[in-house]
Amino acid sequence: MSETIDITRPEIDANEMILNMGPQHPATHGVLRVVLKLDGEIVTDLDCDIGYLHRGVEKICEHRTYPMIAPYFDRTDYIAAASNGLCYVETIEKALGLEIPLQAQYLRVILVELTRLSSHLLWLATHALDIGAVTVFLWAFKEREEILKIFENFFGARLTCHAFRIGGMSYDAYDGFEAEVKTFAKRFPSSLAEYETMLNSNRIWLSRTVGVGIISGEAAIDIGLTGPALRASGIEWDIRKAHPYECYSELDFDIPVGENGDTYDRYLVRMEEMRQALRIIVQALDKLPGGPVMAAKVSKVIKVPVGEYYHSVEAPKGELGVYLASDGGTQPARLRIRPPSLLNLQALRQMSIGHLYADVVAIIGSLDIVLGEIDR
Amino acid sequence: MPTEDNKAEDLTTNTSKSPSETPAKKLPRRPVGSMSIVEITSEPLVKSLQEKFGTAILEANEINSQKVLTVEKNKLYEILSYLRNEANPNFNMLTDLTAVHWPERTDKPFEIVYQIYALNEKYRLRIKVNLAEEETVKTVTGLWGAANWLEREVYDLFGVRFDEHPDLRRILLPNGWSGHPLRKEYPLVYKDNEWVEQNLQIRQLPLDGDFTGKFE
Repeated sequence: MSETIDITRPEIDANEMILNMGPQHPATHGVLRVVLKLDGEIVTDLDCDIGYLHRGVEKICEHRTYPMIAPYFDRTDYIAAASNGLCYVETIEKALGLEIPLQAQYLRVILVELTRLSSHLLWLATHALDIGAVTVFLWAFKEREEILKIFENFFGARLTCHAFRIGGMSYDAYDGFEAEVKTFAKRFPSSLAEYETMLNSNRIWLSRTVGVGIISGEAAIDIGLTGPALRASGIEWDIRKAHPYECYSELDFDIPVGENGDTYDRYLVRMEEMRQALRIIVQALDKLPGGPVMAAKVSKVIKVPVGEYYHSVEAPKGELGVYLASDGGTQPARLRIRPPSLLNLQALRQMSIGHLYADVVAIIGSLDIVLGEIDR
Repeated sequence: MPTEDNKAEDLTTNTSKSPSETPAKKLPRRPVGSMSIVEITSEPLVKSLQEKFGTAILEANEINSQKVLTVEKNKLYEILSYLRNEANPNFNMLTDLTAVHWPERTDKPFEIVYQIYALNEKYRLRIKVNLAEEETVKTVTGLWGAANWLEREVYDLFGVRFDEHPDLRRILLPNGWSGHPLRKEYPLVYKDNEWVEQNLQIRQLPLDGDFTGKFE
């Protein structure tokens, strides 16, 4: 569709109907506007209207010093703040050539994987709610609350978690952190099993998700899908394994892969990913080496050498990348954020055409998008 | 376009500059050096590209151990098409497509950056092309579907046009907005007052206005 759809446009077929969904629609997970072209209840075309949350983060970054930029990243994907913070500080560290103490690396991994759990739980809750499973919504929020309590103790915030600094962490774990995470890790698998008994063999759930929004592996790569959405199409690719960062190469975990690339497989992949994240957390807790959390040689005024650097991490939603172009000053010449949700949302059109209108809601849910990150 | 009034809100140190002036690119007080740059002409992929496209490969470097090629604009599409379809490794993924504005490079201020990736070989490559003001470049939507929105974003935020793009319109900013925010001459705090007034019926308040009482 080449224009924002105008309802009065004469060329629309008499059998077709234009339906506006959003921007204030609970199933769009934010302020996303989708304009659908319908033939009866079948979607024949759709157009996404994004940008409602655009606040020019990349422009602001060009006018802030490197340490000042970090908090802006917590507010891009606001339900996985720690992952974003990690991506930014790692980019600067690698551009500077800084070595990070092991204790900081392990702590970062624990926190980032906890973030993955909380992000996936929020996804599960809202995705299930969209399809009508209210119980799962309440149960998932209960577990997510436990993670947020740990975050509140660690970061002092529930959503805008921010403790990663260029060169390490701003402080070490508080007393009792390990015990709290271990208690959570012990109980969580049984909760996960409960969600699965609610959904895996639920007839309504299966009829709403199996075979809906299929995308082949090749098409997924072409459209730039990353993260669980790509793996559900059978492509075994995870940045934590392909280009290990922090201490991931020392930890043992598997990459769950789907087969059909439909909404149900994306659900299964994320559920399994939560188990793997938990495995990582337990291992990292046992391996916590102690020692300093901040690299010794971090200058007070951070100036990145002239040049450019691209770095990406496996955020809960997919490949989150930062491209930094530096002119040698205290502020970046250009800081580009590559949001996974933007490229994942682009696949919505391809996935939805030919499906029922109600399935669009399921497909948006299965893509796990965050508009704060898409619009930046 | 920006007026003096808008500039007065600018929170950075360069408030005194007028919008038309070259924007503040704060030069470092003491030189900080540059990242390590190593030529990689012996790399098999670069060799095959140089054999095929000759001088169109302007630079082939490893910057901070990341492979970067700068290519000529005329051959860009052919090179990308070769990398997508024929080259070994096969670059089947377009990770990112963005631009950088360097106003101090007066002849070719825009740099379009393609981050491409060979998923099977786990091989990252960055292709860069320099463009003059108003110069356009051919779209790569035919090579990678992912390019569609990424090119729209570059057009929206930098004003760089992509020839033959199927759907080139603004993506983040609303239709009819004036200016392209990620250009360096675009001030940090600025909004298109005319657009806001027409579309949102919000009238701009005078900056030195009296906000205590009522206004029209």
